[in-house]
Amino acid sequence: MIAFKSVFKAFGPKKVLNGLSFEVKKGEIYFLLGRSGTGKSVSLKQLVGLLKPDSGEIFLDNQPLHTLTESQFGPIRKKCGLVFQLPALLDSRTVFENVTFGIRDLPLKEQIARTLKILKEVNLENLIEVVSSRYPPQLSYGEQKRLALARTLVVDPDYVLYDEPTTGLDPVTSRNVHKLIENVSKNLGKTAIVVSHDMRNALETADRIAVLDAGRVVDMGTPDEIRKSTVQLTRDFLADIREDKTR
Amino acid sequence: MEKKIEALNILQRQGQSPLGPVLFEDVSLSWEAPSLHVIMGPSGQGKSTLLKTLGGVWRPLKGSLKIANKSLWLGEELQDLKLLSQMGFAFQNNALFSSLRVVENLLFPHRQRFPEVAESERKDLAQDWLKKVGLEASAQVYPHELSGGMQKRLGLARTLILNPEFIFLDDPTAGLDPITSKIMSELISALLKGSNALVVIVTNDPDRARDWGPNIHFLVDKKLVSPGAKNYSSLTGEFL
Repeated sequence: MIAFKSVFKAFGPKKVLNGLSFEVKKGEIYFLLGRSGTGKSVSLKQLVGLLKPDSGEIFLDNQPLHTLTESQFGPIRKKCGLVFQLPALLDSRTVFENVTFGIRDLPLKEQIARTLKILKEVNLENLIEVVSSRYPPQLSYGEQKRLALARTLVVDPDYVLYDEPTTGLDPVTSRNVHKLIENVSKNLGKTAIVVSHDMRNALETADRIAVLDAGRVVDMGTPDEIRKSTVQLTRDFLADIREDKTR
Repeated sequence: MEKKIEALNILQRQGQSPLGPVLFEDVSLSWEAPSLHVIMGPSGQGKSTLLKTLGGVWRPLKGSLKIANKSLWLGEELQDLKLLSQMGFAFQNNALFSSLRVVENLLFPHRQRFPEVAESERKDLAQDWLKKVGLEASAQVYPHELSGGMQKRLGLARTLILNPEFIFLDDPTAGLDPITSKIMSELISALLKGSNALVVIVTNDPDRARDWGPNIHFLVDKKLVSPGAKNYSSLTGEFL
């Protein structure tokens, strides 16, 4: 379980989080939705210790994170895998070296076994034969995104944090990435927090959606509840959407 | 001048390298102003490259490209630099100069293209455009102090201030939240209203494509599929 309790964070005069509170249950796919600059990505970074809250409390499986020092964050980062907005792969390393970057200390046999399993999970079976000869620039952008997800999952985190996973992707690839998030969460039993602007895919993928404005949650609910919401910002996000009922 | 882009069987490879994988081939089109064309398609398969090729940024590796009935390229050289001065290009990453203030970013290409314009006139023009895109209060700040949406608006204004005959916008709402994206879309439509230009916009966003339709083309499997083609409606279902 992840819990934010009245978290505040400012950068100079700019207040980004203004008493942010929410809870994510184990096994959930939880979307944090909101306009740019409302503190969505800042929340994710606080979970892995890249940023510290100014005040408030953050808990991961009942362990307080807001009191931890940098050196105490190691085990937390193994528990919470962060998938960046851009693939952030190492172009000069092979597919295998990229996937296994976070598990280099494990025996080679174990690294290979995990890599094979995870490549199948993220629909990159086509790379299994060429893991040691193919490099990221030789992959399509969609493959690079999936490889970045594989690199996060291979560490076997309990929680996967996605920072705008489909920004800049076409609608078809974007749908596929969301389907992948759903499959990975259900098949591997991961809890997912997805930071996004994409209400259409959130409605199809999320168990619950929180809508953020000015650093706090202004609306929260299941996709059905969100569809019926009367909160103006949520209505604004829903306004542009034409859901495809056939999907 | 007849404002027209004609491409005949153009081909482009990744990285514009003769050895790179083919991004698109046999792309032929004839688009005339005033009109607005939208290009959609899978990510990473050459939409931006096609836009840059049509806009004279990159040379097609095969085929011919005519702008206003004149060949743009002669071998590896641009044949007519004057043609380029009719084109305005807004890049996906905005390509702003981080060390220049907003107003200087806006005026940089204008100064290069119209050196004869008096500075007082140029400043008035800048004020006018900053107002049009809602950046009048940010004239003296640097690009990193702007939000993503403001940077996009500055990139757009820097393109349109040149009053180009051919306008190329590369994913002008990429990375914006849907509300900011809608505002940007409405701004683009308002600024282009009554324009006699030929406008080409690449987008990944089906809502924006519908805003700017109906001339929506799909770059799929190395081919450009335009309205009327036999597989067009299935692509419409997939992408829109």
